[in-house]
Amino acid sequence: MADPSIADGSFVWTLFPFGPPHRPELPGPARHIAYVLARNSRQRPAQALLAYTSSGPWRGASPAPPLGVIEFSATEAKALRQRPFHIDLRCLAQVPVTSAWFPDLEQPDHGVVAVAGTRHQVRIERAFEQLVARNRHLIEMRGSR
Amino acid sequence: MPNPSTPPKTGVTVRLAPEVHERLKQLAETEHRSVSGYLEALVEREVAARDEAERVIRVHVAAELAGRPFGDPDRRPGETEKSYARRKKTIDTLFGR
Repeated sequence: MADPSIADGSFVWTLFPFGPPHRPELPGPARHIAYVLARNSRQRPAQALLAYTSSGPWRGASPAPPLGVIEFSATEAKALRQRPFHIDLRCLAQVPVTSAWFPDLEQPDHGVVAVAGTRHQVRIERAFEQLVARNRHLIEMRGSR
Repeated sequence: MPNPSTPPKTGVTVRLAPEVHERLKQLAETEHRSVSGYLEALVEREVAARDEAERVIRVHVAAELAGRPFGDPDRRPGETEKSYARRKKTIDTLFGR
């Protein structure tokens, strides 16, 4: 049974789906920490909306992180018992809360490695709002619809 | 006369294989550009394409959830109506509702 402890704001071990050469609708090939942007527990199984995370600072083509990329400094990351990392809200996954997608779901901590505080959650949500509100044509669904 | 508000361009040396250079000359002619101007346009197009690609949100949808919309997100303990409505609106927009 899905556990409600994987709540919004959790950083959790997942098999985050990747694009080519992997299939975007299937669990990814390696364990990866993702951020839980939202959850719907009324569905059976419950669903989660995940955002991709990556260690280290932003390393993209642009000199500064683009809208949707949120860096966590060494200090901020340490408060979450993590190394510096960034969240990329432009890379999301809609997945069921099952062991197929959350490999540690049956463990006592359900694979949750940290939970963002309210301040960080609000910061992430505001960036997500701005990102999504820009233009519907900039949202691309991959996999099953 | 150079525009004082426009910084001068930086030169870059590019070495190409003769056959690539010949092909480049042909392509540049089709756009009525010099080879140098054509290369500059190519670089600008590539940079613009990368910038555009960085703006796209990609949502990977699990096979098990085909045809199943995300629905309404869980309400957080103690969350105000206003905050919940704001979050719900963002989710709805993402999924085109």
